[in-house]
Amino acid sequence: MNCHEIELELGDYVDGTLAPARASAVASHVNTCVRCGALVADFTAIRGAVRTLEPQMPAAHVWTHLAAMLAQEQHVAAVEPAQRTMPWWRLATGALAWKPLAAAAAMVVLLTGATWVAWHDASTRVGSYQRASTPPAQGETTLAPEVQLAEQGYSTAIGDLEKVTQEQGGSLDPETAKVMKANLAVIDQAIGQSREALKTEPANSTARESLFDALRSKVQLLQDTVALINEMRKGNQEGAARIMSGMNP
Amino acid sequence: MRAADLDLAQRCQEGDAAAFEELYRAHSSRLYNLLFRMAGSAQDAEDLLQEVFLHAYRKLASFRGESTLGTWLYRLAVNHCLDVLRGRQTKMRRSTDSLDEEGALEPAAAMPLVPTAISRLDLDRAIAKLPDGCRAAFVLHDVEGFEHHEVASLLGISQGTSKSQVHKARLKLRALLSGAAR
Repeated sequence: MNCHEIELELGDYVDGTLAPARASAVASHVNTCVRCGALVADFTAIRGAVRTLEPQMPAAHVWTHLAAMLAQEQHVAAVEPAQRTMPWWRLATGALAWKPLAAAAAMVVLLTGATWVAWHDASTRVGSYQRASTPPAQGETTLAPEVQLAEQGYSTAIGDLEKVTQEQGGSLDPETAKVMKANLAVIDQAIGQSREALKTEPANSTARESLFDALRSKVQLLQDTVALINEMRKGNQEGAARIMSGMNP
Repeated sequence: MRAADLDLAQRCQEGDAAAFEELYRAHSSRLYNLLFRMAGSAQDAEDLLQEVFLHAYRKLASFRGESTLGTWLYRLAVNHCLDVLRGRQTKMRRSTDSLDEEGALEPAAAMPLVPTAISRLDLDRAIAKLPDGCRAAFVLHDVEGFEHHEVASLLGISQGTSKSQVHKARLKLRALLSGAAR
């Protein structure tokens, strides 16, 4: 028996899968051959080390991406809704889960917009009457101190939240991020118009409430967005779903 | 077990999101381990894992319960990984030929080269450096614990080729780990 003849059998020898007679013959050679003895020692060391390898776990975002890809599958849409025990469009995880978010965000816009429109209609009528009867006094171009103070509190919170969303907004699905941005723009418009109206009509309680409603809506939307980003980054689908269900009216 | 697998497969086909997540949670770790070692990187393994589950979703209708869902998924993962590796090998033929050629193995040494205590990190790195062909056989045999005839069946090669590939992988690892020790 020479080294060349048994080299491929050294693996089986190390694995302990050779027939007893053959194993005995290989052992005799290995015990007298320095080269093959070294190979067996190294193969045994490698075999032992392999057993100590730590199990690898997939990152949490793998499931998030997978759920998004699944949502795009055409044959998912082809499944009859009646057959589903849980419709895909109500997924608590994955890309489709962002649709309730978009709906919720849109609802914020609708509510904010409706509040503003209702106020704007009323204030336009009242304002027209007031302006016609009592023109604004000179210097009445700034908000009342108490309004400024309240708004300052909101602005600080909004500034902090905006900083976080700008820095970490990349974690959001692009479509969701786009909707959020559009909704924030509508809220900002409502805030701006309310503020302008209050400059000329500081005592108008409806305008004041409208401004605070819009500011609260913005804070809430930003808070939910930050919480959602955090859950997305952690890969916590349940947490993200909870936030989104909380956003639903 | 088979009945439960069939039920789970059925629910996944019907678009039950919770069922598919259950399928993923039950099998993703084992499949990821396999793919991580076979592909040689976490990024590739993540991509492959997503693709495997997408394929699984598309093919669930063909699952008849002849094997467990875990075995069915495992085979699917091996086949898909091999397809990807073969494609990669075609593109990078030059880099893998060196080990597949006869005579390209490290010369035999007259003394053990591998350190007594091999760090997991060094071993993981060394496995990742193996050429795709022999890495697949090595991972299935030495890491996953399949017998050569099972490796042969999974890879679509002969039992002798499986032994030869594992042997090459061990020789290459020996060289890599002796280098890592220096």
